[in-house]
Amino acid sequence: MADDSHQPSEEEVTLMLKRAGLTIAPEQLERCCAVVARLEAAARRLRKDLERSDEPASVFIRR
Amino acid sequence: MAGELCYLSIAEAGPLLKSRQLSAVELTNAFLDRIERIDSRIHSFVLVTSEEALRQAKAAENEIASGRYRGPMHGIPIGLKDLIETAGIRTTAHSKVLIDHIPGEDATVVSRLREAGAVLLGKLGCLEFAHGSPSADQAWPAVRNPWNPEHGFTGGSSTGSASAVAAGLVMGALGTDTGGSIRNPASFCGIAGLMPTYGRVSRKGVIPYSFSLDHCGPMAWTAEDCAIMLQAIAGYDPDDPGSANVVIPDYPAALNEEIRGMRIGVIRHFYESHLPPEDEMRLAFEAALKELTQLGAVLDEVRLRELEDYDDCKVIISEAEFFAVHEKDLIERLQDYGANLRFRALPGGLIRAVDYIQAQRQRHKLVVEMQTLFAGYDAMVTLCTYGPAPKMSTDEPTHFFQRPNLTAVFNVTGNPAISICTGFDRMGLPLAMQIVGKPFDEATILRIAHAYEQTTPWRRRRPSLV
Repeated sequence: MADDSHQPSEEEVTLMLKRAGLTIAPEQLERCCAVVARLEAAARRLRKDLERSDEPASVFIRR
Repeated sequence: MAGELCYLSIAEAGPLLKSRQLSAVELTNAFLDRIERIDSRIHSFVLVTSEEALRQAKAAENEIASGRYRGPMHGIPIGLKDLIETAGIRTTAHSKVLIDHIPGEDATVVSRLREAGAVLLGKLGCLEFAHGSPSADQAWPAVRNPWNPEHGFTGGSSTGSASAVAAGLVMGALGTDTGGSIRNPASFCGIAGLMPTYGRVSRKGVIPYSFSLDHCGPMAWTAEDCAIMLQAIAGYDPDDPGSANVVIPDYPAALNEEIRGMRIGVIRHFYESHLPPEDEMRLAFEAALKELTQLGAVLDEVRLRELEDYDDCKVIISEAEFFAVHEKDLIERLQDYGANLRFRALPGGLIRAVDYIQAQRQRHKLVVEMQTLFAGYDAMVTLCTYGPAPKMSTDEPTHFFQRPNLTAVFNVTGNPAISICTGFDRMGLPLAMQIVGKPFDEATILRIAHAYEQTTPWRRRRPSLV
């Protein structure tokens, strides 16, 4: 999902959903694409300052 | 008299029940009568368990009469968000997908409330699986805001819990919070809603939205009542992998200490730069800050990361985990989900594994930064929502993804946070702020919230539903 220039088309989203075993009614596709675009943008941004040694939050409260 | 009983706080009712000046059966009947008269206007209940409630009330009354008083929740009528499993009582998550789901066991929080002697009045409506939004194709009508049932949305997702507490249909309720689902409806309905630290309250038997971000907590008319409820439900649970074995303080006792000298960080930059709140909400917050100063707290502006950083992290984690929970049903019986949840849920299945891992790595950084910053403060305060309750709509659900909310920050970092009422706008709708604490320090934010409620008039006003 981390392509900076990518705005998913309805065709692309339909295809991705199909590969995931999912279908969506045509009247909901536009909104679904908006959510996909929102998630793609979030995924692009959240890696901006990650470094090689950064660990995931497996146990997230550090005491 | 019955109406007055329903407006007692838990803290007020407890001593009356203990001293037998008030009967648990009388109290329960008062609430059942009020639910019968009023709930058709706000639809806060999806199931009223009258017979079970009266049986529990009778048992409580007998125990108290025989000298076996269990504590401040004994005989107190409560409700549960219908995301919380109850043995032998239908638990639907407000969805057709679970329309016939009758759990075999109570959630741990339900067991603990039963042990404390609480009386269960029924199950309360919510947004579908805590993630949907109202749509016309759901099994129950959308919960309405008791401050203005014709106009008002209750927020989400613990909608019925907030609405029922505000309307005096339960004395307290449990909600769940993955991105603001306790604090947001508490804000819109003018009640107190506490999201405890992640790990403080068991999630076992709470239908999951997002394992990493889900919290379960109390919603009540006052912060003091939240403290009483938290005392009953907090504590280590070996059946919840996220549960923490941390000492539980005496929350109600902690309320008696003053807040003089406390260092409170004020977070304004979340909304000042890009996302201005409505004026009345902002002004009520500034007035609340003056109150805290007059109570002796030392306030200081604090800056965290940009709101978007937390929101990006939250949305990737929660959407991927929500899809993982529902994958089988989304593939096999998509039509049983409400229309507004379908298009929200499906894109979660397109999030790549690497994006999810990067979000969890980013989350670790955000957690460490927050706890480091908290070393200089006892608590932080900020707005809870950008404005009062918006107009109820069943066909505009995309706002969920359009503007970062002010509450999900603390789901990402796991800190406890409480929403409390800071007044009312010109239409009579509640305004609110949230107070955030250090991990496992719910006592401090409850104390600040209680001190504020004691010096302001907002707890004396109720919705005019009759």
